[in-house]
Amino acid sequence: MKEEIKDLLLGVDKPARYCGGEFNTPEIKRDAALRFLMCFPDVYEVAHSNLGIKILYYMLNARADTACESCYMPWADMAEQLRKRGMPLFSQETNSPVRSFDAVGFSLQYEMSYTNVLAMLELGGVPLLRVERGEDDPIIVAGGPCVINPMPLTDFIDVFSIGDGEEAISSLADVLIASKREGISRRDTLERIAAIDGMFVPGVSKGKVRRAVIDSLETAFFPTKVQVPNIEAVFQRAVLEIFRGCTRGCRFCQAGMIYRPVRERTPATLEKYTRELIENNGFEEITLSSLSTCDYPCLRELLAKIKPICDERKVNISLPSTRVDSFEAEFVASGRLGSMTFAPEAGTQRLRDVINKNVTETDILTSCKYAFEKGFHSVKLYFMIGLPTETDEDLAGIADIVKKIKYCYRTHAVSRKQLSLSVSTSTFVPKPFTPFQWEAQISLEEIERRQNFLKSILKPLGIRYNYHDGKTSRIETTLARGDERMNKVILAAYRAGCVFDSWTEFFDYEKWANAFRACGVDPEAYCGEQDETTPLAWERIEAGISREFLVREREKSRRGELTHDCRKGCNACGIQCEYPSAFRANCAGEKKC
Amino acid sequence: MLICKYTRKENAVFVPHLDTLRAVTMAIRRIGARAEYSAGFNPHMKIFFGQPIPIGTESDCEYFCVYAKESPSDFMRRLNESLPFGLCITAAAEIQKDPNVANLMYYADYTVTMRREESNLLAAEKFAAGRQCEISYIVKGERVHKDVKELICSVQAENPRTLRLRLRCGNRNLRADRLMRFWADSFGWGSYDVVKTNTYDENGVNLDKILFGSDK
Repeated sequence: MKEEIKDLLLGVDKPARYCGGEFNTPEIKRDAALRFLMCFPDVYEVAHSNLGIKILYYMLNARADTACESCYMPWADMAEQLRKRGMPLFSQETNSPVRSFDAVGFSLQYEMSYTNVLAMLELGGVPLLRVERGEDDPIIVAGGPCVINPMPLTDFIDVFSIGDGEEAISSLADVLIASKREGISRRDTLERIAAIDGMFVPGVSKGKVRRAVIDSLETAFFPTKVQVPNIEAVFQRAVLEIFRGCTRGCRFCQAGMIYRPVRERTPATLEKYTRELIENNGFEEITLSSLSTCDYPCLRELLAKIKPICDERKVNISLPSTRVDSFEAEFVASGRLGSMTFAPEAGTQRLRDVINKNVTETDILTSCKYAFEKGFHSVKLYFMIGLPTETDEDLAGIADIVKKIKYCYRTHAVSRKQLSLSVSTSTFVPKPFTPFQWEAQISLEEIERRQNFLKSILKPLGIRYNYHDGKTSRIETTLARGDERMNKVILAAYRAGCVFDSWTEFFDYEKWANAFRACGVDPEAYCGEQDETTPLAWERIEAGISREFLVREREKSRRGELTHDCRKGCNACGIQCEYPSAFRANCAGEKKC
Repeated sequence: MLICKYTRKENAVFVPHLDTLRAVTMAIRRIGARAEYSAGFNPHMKIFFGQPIPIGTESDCEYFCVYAKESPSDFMRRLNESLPFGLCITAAAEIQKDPNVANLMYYADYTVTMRREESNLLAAEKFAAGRQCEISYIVKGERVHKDVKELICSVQAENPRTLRLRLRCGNRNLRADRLMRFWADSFGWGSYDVVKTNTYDENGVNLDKILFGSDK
């Protein structure tokens, strides 16, 4: 390690975030035709919990002609030291400055990380505005779920990779290498990139850009040898992606819409990956990752296959996204008594029907009864406030559920411990390409009133109540549903000092409000109800879900009508027409699995 | 049960103690060694490390004891193939009883290499020879003053680039990096690198001799 880097790291908190040298780091090819930098606009511990960048990082490094390195958002003290010492932000593996790479990719997982993208570009010595970048500057690429609406970032990003990245990143690497070899201009290179499936290139792409979808996960690249972080990640565990997509159709859920169709891996493949993940990485825990793991039709078969492998090396199995109606599987997986986490999302059956959360109070109480009889004594409940049509009666329903769970514990618990019960609420943020994409978000005053109302009715019940800051949710909505005017607001907010907006200790609502004012943009235009008859900013992208389906679902929500799980029959969302090969190969609805 | 000695160099010097412990545990799980686990709600590998070493300080002499039924040489070879960059097992031996290395540690030797020649390294010797050795350092944003006379065993300025220190470690501990930072600020020294080279028990016997029967 260079002495100047060593001295720099000795002056910052948690230097292990920046020193590199993680176990399983691939050898970085010095003479590669393409040098790619994979960036994550949040801290090291968050970045190392993300599967998407691991897939792309190892895919690129598996190519003989490409060297891919990584870089994460430096914490405030590190950013300050870099500026003070006049050093550019550098890669983890070879300490190369960001600006020295051919291409720099960002994974955008949540909207509140947008200012961090700007911070990383500036610290790395790359011009913030794409129109100011020259022939020697890297091409800036962005992917991840947020780019389903790329419009708020079109001034800063050269290329948006919309949808699944596995095939897109290979095609992108091919084009970048060929363009470099042929010595063609940046503009011509961008034009070639625009021809790749799923690539939206601002200023170049014409018409709608269709989301890229891989046909099958069975044949897709999956890294079983991943970097083991130097310090504990937020989710420190091996990740086994069992399927992509979701068939439930919750009307607020963007992921459930934009990752369609469902594509599953077979138990045999997953068993092989489990063995490799344990042997190659050594994590204490393996998580069966998907949007709704308990919906995997072969879950019991899979658990029977992998449990002995995990037990042999004392590796725990965890199931995230457990639904209240399938809690038993989680217990089967872990066989251990921990706390259980359920997300009913809404307090009354009426509102759960509005959002198409196909869960009943009976499901919740049955799962609780099962868990309490097994010795559980801790329950965490997650709800959303501000859902369309929500009333105080729905909020009061949250307290009713709490009371019933407490009664259930008194009558069924085998544990002598006191029940530990907590309720957390987040505020509904309407997201693009969901049936609720046109809905209004409740005002800041109303968010705070509803939080206070909940506080008042939950306090007498003696449980913990946590809630997300409403101001963050307001800004998140403006970014999620933003159009091109949001570019200047983001830049103004960044210039005013906004970074790490998803971190409460950094988030500054006033700076954002000032940025809106300074740019003459009204945030209410994004938070209020959107006109169903006019095109939406993100409709520049073809996500594969038809507008008719979304409208139909919105209307059904108003009537409190449910839409059944796609596994029980196709709901004609449009995916089957847009991606027939992926649908045929995997759609659970058609195959009735 | 195995006792192992390992070095911490390069990038690994920036990894905190608990994460180093985790890295070794993960490596043992990777190689599939037959390690024992605690019983109870959260079974943990039975592995015990010495005292933590400060971030930024290299070391030639760290130790851990692991309850594992493995051949020492085979365990060392396989584990070295699976450890992160900067960590390396340099000795392993079978033992009957956990020696509690954290408790054994009493003194440690450090070699400090200055990045440039310093004309006044002897100032450190003079400081240590004083009746009082008050240093100050920052802890959680607050400046602390402390007389560390009893914690400094010896200081030797070997040449304009090298200092050799023997300091107390264990329960009453003086961090070499803290002492060096104070000296560097007080005497105007430039950058330096600190390496922990040997550890001793309270009788001044090298831990290598106690744990392995000879210098390793």
